[in-house]
Amino acid sequence: MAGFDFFRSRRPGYLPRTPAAALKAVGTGTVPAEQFVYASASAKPLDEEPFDLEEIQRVLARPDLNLQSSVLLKTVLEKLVGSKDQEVALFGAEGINSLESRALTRIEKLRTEMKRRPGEDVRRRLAREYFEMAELQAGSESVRAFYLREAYASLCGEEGELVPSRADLPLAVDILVARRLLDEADVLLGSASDTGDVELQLMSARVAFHARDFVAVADICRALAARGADVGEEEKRVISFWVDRDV
Amino acid sequence: MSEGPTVCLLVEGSYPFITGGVSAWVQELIAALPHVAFTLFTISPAEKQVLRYELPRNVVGHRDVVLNEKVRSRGRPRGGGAAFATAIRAMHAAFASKSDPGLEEVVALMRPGWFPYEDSVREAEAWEMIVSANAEHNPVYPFSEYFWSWKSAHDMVLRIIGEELPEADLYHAVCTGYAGLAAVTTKLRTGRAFLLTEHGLYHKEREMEIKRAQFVKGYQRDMWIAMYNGLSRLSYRYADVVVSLFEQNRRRQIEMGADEDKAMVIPNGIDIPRFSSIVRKKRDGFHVGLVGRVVPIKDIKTFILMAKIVAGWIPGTTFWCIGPTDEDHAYFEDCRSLVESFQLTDSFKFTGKADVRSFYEFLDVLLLTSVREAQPLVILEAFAAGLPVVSTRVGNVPELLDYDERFLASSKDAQKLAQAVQYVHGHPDEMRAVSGKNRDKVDRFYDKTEVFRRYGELYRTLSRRGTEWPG
Repeated sequence: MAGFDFFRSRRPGYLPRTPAAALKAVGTGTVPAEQFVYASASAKPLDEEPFDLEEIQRVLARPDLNLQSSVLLKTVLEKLVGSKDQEVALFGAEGINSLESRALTRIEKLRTEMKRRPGEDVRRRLAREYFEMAELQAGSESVRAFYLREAYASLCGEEGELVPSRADLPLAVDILVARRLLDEADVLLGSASDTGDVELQLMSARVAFHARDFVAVADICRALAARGADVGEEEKRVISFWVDRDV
Repeated sequence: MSEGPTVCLLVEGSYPFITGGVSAWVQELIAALPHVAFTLFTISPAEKQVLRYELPRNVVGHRDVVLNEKVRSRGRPRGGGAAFATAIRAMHAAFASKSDPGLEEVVALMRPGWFPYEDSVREAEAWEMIVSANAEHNPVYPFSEYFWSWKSAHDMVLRIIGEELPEADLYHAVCTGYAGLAAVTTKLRTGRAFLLTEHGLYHKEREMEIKRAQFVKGYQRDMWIAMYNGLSRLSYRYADVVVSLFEQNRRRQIEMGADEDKAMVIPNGIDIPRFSSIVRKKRDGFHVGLVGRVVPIKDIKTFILMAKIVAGWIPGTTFWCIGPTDEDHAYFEDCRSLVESFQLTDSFKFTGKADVRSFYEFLDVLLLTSVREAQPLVILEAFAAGLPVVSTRVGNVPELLDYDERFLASSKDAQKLAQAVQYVHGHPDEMRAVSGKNRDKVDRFYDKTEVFRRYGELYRTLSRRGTEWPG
């Protein structure tokens, strides 16, 4: 138990705050192993109240924030904006602005690149950025719809005149599903199920699921199972769930 | 030649190179006190910036210091490098313990013109200080990261302490930070008075930037925040008078070490006749206006979102976004696309830079959607012109709006803002009464002439001459 004396008799100095930093500090002998146990066991979800403002700040400052983390962070920041404490509310509002400004900067860069050197790759990246910006707007349906439209226009043209390539199909379908344009998604996937393309078939199942056509979902999954399709662990779990389901 | 005192105005990162609230205030202050000779000491992030203001005739000198610029150093500290390093260590200890950080010893040892860029690696005492501080604060990460961050922070602070400011009777810093530090240093060297005016709270603004920055990490975040807090505490401690725009900020300055008796409120003021003389003319339809630059901090997207909601509730409403659109091109383009997407093109207008008075003639309500403000002048202007105001709950706005929740909303709450605008639309008689009350308030407390007269008084009292002069 001697290690816990560390907490009782702490002098000012380095105190690792994240489990990763604590592990590193334990490795160098800077802090006892108990600090790692404490830092690891103290971790709580970002969106659990009362909010851990320091942890929120740390996540906001990460340069490699993925979409899921950004969406979660935005949800938390939106709650902070309503705080009675003006400083906390300000941090929430400025944090949201930061998240959106970063995305907007990437979008602007790609738009400029698109004007200078238009190409499939830039178009796809631009559409992806718009799609992610849309996902960040979960709290405002109309703004989300705006960015989804921009995403689709980037990928398939203003009037939807461009037919997405095979590589662009997953994103195009994701956008249409997000816009609840399920019939159009179905049309895009078209005869996907006949081509033997497992990824497209799973996407068809997803579109059917959103359309609440559970019979079609189960049929597609059963067909994939019968073929012994080569899929990842996550997909395997989904398929086996629907195969055994009485719909 | 000026008959009044010479005031050295210390400005950081704004006037006369950047437009904005503080810069406009500085320009007006100088123009309002023609009998005072002003000499500018500005601190900039880069050299050769373009002047964005025409300097009034009573600006008698201007010296610009680039914070990151390495300048030629001459001389040595009194008592040698080791004694200086010991003084710096003592200053660190005071900063870390959040006690009153003293600067007397550092300033006493440091001759103007000496900039110790290399002493951190040349002096054994200084090097030991860095190594031991690294071991204490940053033991598991690369030493080089700590060293360069430490050096960068110290180079900037010592760059300012090593500067010799223009001769003046009084030093007036328009923020704490490096500008305040320069005033503190000069006060300690010359005994001249130091007047501090803060529009926002410098350390809070820097802290907010650091917290959301992606390039500052780990201990460095704490270090920079502690440094900016320390700089503010220094200014609060040494300033002869500390001015804030409103009481809430004054309380915070006192919490950070400002002497209660020396801390006072002088609000922003406006040219009341310029706005109260506007003849209001009812125009067809309902007109909602926002006066501000099209930049994220003004949150124009929330205005657009609110416009979409209000357009559905009050047909025939026109929305006016009155202000420059050229500061953040990407943001403006995004806003414009959003307006198109919401099919508001016919009813939502971006005017660009414009004379706001022609809009105050017919606007039915002024809206403010900002996420950060101190004491927004546009609200005072609207009050003087007789317009009702709906705003986000930022800075001093709740007090200006008498904490009336009908006209206030959280930042980014487009729905609540829309409800407030709808309330204004539905209660014209009540709004006339509210506007009358607000106009009285501006007359009594926010007259620019009175505000700058008080500064003239302060200059007179604080200047070393203390002689009568027309102010």
